[in-house]
Amino acid sequence: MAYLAGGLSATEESAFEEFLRENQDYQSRFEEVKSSWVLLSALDSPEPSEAMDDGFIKMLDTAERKQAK
Amino acid sequence: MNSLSDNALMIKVKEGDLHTLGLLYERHKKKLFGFFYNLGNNPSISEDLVQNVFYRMLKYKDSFASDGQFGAWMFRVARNVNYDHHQKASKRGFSEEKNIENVNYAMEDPINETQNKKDNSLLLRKALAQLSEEKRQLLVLCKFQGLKFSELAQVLDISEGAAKVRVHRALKELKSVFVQLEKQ
Repeated sequence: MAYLAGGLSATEESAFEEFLRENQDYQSRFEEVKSSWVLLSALDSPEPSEAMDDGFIKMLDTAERKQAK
Repeated sequence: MNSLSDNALMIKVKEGDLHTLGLLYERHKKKLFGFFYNLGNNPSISEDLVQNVFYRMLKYKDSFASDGQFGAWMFRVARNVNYDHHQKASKRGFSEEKNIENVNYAMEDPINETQNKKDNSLLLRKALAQLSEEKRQLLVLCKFQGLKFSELAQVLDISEGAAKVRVHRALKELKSVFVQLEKQ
């Protein structure tokens, strides 16, 4: 999991790749997990609207006024 | 000011410089919006929930540990906001968007995307909707929000090893649900 998530150092990555090359059983299990991980890449989201910014600015302004009192 | 870390900015907020929250908002608003949206909330509710996260950051700014990780703290607040929202919604007797039939708003994505990607995205959203809340959050935080396992562990208050195992299990379940949906 850490390999797929980019959480390994370059040395650790190389060691893991070497391990997979030498262990075919793990290689196929890894490919299965990898395909699920890649599948998640289809997940996306739209851009939030400007109304969200307006709401935040209003909220922050209210909080600052309250603090100034 | 722009070069300051998230932690340094939040410490300023904690010390009373509320205006600094604006920088944190600019840095993280899209990330948080994507978090809520990908958990199955519609765009309008996702925006309200983002707003609520920043409101709570101000309200509970003293709970931010100066030596802590801002990202983990922010997503802990976001998880609570999401939980409270759906608790309230279910008390009111309706579930706005947490069901498979209602995830079709994903089809409103910009038309320049390929149909194939749209189909996969919609199917994936439907598959995610069938997972438990915790599994959905694990996958969204880990993959889409790019949280490291150490941060994920902090958000969920579990060990790093447990976070890896749970993400692995959630991925396997997602794939299985996705394949079933694909066959239908």
